[in-house]
Parts: sequence; structure tokens; C-alpha cells
Amino acid sequence: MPNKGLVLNIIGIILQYSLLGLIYYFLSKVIKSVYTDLNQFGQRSNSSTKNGINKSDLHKPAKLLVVDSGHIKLTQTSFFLENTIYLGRNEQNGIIIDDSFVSHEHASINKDQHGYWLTDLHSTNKTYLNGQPIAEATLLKNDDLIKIGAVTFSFKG
Amino acid sequence: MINIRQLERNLLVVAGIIMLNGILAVSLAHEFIDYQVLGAAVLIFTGFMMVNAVLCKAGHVGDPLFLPLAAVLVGLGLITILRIKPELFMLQVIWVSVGLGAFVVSVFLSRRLEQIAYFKYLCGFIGVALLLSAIVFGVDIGGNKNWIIMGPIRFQPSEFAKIFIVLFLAAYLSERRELLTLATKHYGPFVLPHPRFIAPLITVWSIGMLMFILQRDMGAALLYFGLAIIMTYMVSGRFSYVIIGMSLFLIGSIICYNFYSHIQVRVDIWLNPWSDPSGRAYQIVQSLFALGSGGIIGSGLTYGFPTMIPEVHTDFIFAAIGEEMGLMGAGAVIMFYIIMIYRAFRASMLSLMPFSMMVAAGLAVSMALQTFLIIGGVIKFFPLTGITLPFISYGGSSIVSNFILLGMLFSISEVRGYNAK
Repeated sequence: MPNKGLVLNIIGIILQYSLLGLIYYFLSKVIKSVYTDLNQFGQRSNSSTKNGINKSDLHKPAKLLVVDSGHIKLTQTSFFLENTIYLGRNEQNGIIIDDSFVSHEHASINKDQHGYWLTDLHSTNKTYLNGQPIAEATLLKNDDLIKIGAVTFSFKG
Repeated sequence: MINIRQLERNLLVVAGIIMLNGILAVSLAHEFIDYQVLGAAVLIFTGFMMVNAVLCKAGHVGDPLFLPLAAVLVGLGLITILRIKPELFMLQVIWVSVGLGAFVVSVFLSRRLEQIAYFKYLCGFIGVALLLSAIVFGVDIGGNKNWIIMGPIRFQPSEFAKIFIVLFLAAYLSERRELLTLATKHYGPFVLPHPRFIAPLITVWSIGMLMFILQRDMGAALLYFGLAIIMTYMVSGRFSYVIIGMSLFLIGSIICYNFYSHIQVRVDIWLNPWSDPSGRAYQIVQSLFALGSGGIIGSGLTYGFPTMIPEVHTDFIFAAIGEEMGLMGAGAVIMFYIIMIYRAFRASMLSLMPFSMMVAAGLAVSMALQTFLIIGGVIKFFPLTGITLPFISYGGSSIVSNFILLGMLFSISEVRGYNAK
């Protein structure tokens, strides 16, 4: 059956070329996705420098909104953040949380040119950011949820 | 905004078609279709789709390109292994399935990555122990004394050690980044940190040198040493660390070159392979012939002679791809690696925690160095080093450890839902 051999040969040759074609089709799809991602990334970082952290800092400082205070009585429902603010059970703290699960000096939020950094001050029961305990200073983003003891704050910056 | 898991699924389907196409092409050329092989390929494809479904169901928002890129590289690897060593195809299928499982486990475990930072010395200890175990109990298979045999299982500990070493270096360096940048002393034109803080660098250097001498494993030595230097540079931003590291390595290399004949051989056949083309330089010369005869679009699968090269299914698999798929195939493979490494660095840049930032960057550097060293060795750009090409080379340790590494990168890339917004 020479005919069958010929057909198989032709299919074989088509498959050899289609393999390379498909590889490049895949590559083009990947590169297209990278391209759109880079475009969005550029737009996003542009918009964040225009009306993001740096400029808005001058006009209105970031603040912490109390989302859930549990059974604890807090003095305010929102706190404006100055350069450095400490959170904890002690009277000297900027934000006093009178809860036995909160350490005397539990956490701090300080500001530099990048934005606001949340640091856990080696507290016993940890500081949670969006449900995860933080191990070191972490940059805060808008709408981040900070949980200390029973109290949950929302960061607005 | 298109759904990123949908994008991942579409790309995985294309990768699956590539794999089936290649396997059919190889089978047709042999005029014999093995249904077991086809079934295994479908199994691998289903495996990738299942991982995609699991990630989708668990609401993961990690980078949608990692998994398809791994799939296409694994597919090309399977095609090439079926072509050059059909008897190893089924084993490789098993390794890829295990790797996919390891990927999912690694994604779930890495959600709490920052907690690993507490166990940094344990990670460092495990990494060093794995490396030393290869030196002490290592068995010589194929020229490199870097295998461990435990009953029926044999594996290459250095493939897994790199993950632990990256975790340790990331935790250690991100914790001490201020010290590395600020606590410095001036010695003439050089700005050096306090000796205490370069101790880990010296340690990694001496381990690298030990592996170099005792195991003849130049690839792993270069990999670990490069990793330590580049990570220190990334943390501190001080170029003097790179200069110190390079000169230490240069001194070590010169000493080794003068005292050990096998290193002299490696360098000599790199400088002039044509002095002994049928003897010591046989492998590299055959690899150059393979790449050269491949040309632009290659000889076509099964129409070349890549089996002339010794160890073609592990270290020299890139030469086989270059011969049978030509510059186009080999170039596409390099592009896939470049995009994968770029996405790993992107994950690092978008991450907000210094520790996960360093882990992602370290894993990216380790993958980049490994790919560079082996492809550079195969094309005689660099003295030959015996390490595997990630995701393509045959080998259980290599495949599984690279899937674990990819899972960690995937998990870091979804830190606090950048992709979701």
C-alpha cells in the first residue's frame, strides 16, 4: 500500500511544522498577556503617583477607622496618623487598646517617603494584617485590615 | 478584565496540544503509535488541568503564566525524551505527576511563607546537611559524585538544597539588610562590612569550594556561590560585595585549576575542544555538531542524530532540541525561560514583605543561573557544568524540586491579591 505510506509521510511532515507553529502561537499569546499586564502596571503606577500616597499625604493624613472594636471601649472611632503612632495597652500610646490580649506596646505605624509602615513590637499575641500575622515592617495599602487583640482597624491612606 | 484562571486554562490547552502534536510526530516517524504513551500524555495534560481547577476552586489569584510555561517546557522535555530515550518516558511521566502534586502542596504551604522566616537556621541547617550528605555519602553516577541512594530511592540532594539555602539566605539577609548597608569599614578603596556580617558569605564560599573539590560538581558550586553573592548584592545594593565574591571565587578556581587535573580537563576542552575531539572533548564536540546541523528550523523530530551525544537526556537535552527543532525551537525554549524568570522577578517586585521579596528574587536567580550555566555549557559559551535544565531534563529530583520552587513563586505572586484587582 504505497498510498498509505505517502499519506502517513505527509501527515508526519505537517505535524513537524505545526509543532513549531504551535510553539510560536503559544509564545505570542504569552507575550501578549505580558504586554497587557505591563500596560496596566504602567497606568496603575502613573495614577498612584498622580493622586496616590505622596500628594494626598500633604493634604489629608492617612487614618485608621475602627471597623470592629469587640468588647473594648476605644476613645475614638477613627484615628489620624501622624509621623509615628504606637498602639498598645499603655497610657503613653497614641492609640490605647485596653484589652488583656494586647501587649503594653503592641505595634507601631510610622511614615516615610514610601508610605506608612506597620511594625509589630514583639507582641505576645501578634499583629494581624489582612488575616496574616506580620513578621516585620510591612507597607500599608488602602483598605488594609489590621487586627490587634479583639479590635480591627481599616487603614485609609 | 478577563479572568486570570481562564487565561491560564487557555494557555494550558495550547501547551497540551503542543505536547500531543510532538508525541504524534515522533510516533508517526517510527510508524508505530504506542497507546500507552498517548495515554500517559493525556494523563499529564489532565493533571495540569486539575491543578488549574484546584487553584481556581481555592480562589488563588497567583500569576497565570507560571503553570502554562512549566507545562510547555515539560511537554517539550517529554517529546524529546520519547525521541531519544523512549524507555525513560514513562518514568518521566511519573516524575511530572509527582511534581504537580508537589506544586499544589507547595502553593498551600507557602501561604504562610513569612512563618518560615522564624525557622531560618533550621532551613540553613537542612540545606547544608543535604549538601554535606552528598559529599559524605555521595555515590558516583555518570561522573558526578552527587547522588544519594536510600534503598530503592536515589536522588540528588543538591537540587532540593537550593530551596532551603534560598529560604535561609532570604531570612538572614532581609533581617540584617540595614547592617549590611550601613555597618561598614573602609579599607583603602574598598568599603567592606564588619567581618561578622560577611561570615555567611564566607561559609557559602567554602561549601562551594568543598563541593568543587570533593564532588567534581562545578555546576552546583557555581550555582550556590552565585546565589549567595547576588542575593547579598540585591539586599545591600553594594557592588563591593560582588567584587569581593568574584575575587574569592577566582582565587579558589585558580588554586583548584593548578592542583586538580579534572578541572584542568574541563577548562582545556572548553578552550580548545578540537585538540581531542574523539576523546575527552567528545561530548561537547558532538553537542556542537548537533547544534550546527540543526540550522534554523532543525532536522525535524527523529530525523537528526542527537543520540550520538553522551548524557543527552539530562545535561545535553538542549543540544537535542537545537538539532531537531533548530534555532526556532531552541530560541523559543530560551524565551520561555526568560519570561518565567521575568515573572518571578515581577512577583518579587510586587511583594510588600522584605522576606518574601527576597525569597522570590532568590528563587528567580537560582533558576536563571541554572539555565544560564547549562545552556552556556552546552553551546560552549562557558566551561561545561553538569546540572540539569529545569523542567526539560530527565530526572526525578530536578523535576520535583523545580515544581516546588514554582509553587513558592506562584504563592508569592498572589501576595495580597494584586492580580485580583
